[in-house]
Amino acid sequence: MSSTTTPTNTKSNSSSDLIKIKVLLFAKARDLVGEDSVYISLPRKIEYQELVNSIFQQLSSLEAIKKTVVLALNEEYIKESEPVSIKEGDTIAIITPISSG
Amino acid sequence: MSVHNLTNDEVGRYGRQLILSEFGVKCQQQLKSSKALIVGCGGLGCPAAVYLSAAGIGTLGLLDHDVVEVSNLHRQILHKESGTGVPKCKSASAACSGVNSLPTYREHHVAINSTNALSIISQYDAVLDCTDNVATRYLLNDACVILKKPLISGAALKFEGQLTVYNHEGGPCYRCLYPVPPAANTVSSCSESGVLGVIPGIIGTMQAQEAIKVLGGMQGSLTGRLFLYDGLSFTTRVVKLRPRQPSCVVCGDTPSVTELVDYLEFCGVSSADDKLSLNKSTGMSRISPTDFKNHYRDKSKRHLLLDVRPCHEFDICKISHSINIPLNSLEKITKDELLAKISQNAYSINGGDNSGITSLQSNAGHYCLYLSSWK
Repeated sequence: MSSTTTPTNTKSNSSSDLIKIKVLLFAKARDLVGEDSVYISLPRKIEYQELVNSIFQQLSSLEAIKKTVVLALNEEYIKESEPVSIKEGDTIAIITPISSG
Repeated sequence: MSVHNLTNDEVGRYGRQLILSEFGVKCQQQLKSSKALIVGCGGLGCPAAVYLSAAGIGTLGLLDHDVVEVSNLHRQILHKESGTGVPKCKSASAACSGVNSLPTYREHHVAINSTNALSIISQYDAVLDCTDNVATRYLLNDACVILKKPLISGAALKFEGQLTVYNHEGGPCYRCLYPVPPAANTVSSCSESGVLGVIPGIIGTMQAQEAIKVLGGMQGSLTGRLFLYDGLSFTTRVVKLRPRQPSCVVCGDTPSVTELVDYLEFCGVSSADDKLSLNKSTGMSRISPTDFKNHYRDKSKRHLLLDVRPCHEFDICKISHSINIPLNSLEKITKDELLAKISQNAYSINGGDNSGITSLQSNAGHYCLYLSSWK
């Protein structure tokens, strides 16, 4: 058994409890930020709209594409209808459509 | 006794895929009775077309309004050096016929639009979106939803590729994912941003794979999932997409888009090729190469030519005495820093007056440096 314990059980849902999350960037998002991934700080539990606002506030260069992205957490789309739970090691992907071919 | 309609020639030709238990005679026959339309016979359309042809599609529609140019050949692998100026749909059709003469090939040498899309697409069972612009992607999506046809959508740019299947087995459509079209200045084309030839080759080949599965009635299509490919780092990802949206304006429960609209207007852009015309609406002045050449030769008219392309593009070709400050540097530079940089260029300021720069403006991604009275 691993002796490592995560603080989630004892300090769950504390909004001040921010964790660093890796954000993967694709297509235009990659061009605008100039990196293929970055780290941002997010709380462990957050409403969908707050999550969107927080991501685009921390990555302000993405403002122009805010309305045309698909957001995925651990390679699955993020549901808008329920609070989003985030833990260490998670990745968020910001996917913008490519239209050329 | 044979219980299928495949000829001995076909059994011989398709034998290596017929012996796949997941494919077999049933899928081969279904493929043979299917009609697929490839919209765009370019980097994606060429590999998609030749693999569908080789696999034994019944009818293959090849649609493209354009003609072959030399700059296409690094990625649009069905076209030939000797075929420059030939319509791409004819060039692709000829190449596919050379591989497999059994399918019926239909050439559509037209630009697909809101007027002709429904009548063309209604002749087919599935559409492969191999186009190069946002407006046509929304057009094909809406037409496929209206006509209840699956849409196998591929895209490629730089080193990245994307692939999914829309409007199939209850999955989402393009508008479910992207209800709002991207702003014109956030859309990049291959001619602007570049593309490594093999990237559309890989994605177009995968489009053929998905089309074979969809048309052959096989399991495991990419519907509801998005394949992301990054050839530079060799990373692949498959992202689970949101399901069909009941609120979607075209495939939702109470759709408001029930017929095709003006997609250029909807997207606020024209197709990739016409993008330069944007400058007309932004009020930016343009200079033709001929006018510039005359200006350049007229020693009484001093000027500075500032080339804002990236350094690696400036390295490919440049006009003599121009100076290069890439756009991303220009965006961060102050006016004084800019003037200092310009003044390092002795030719440009020989006898000149730096006060000639009146303003530096950005609009829709295009930067203009307004210069006046460089006497």
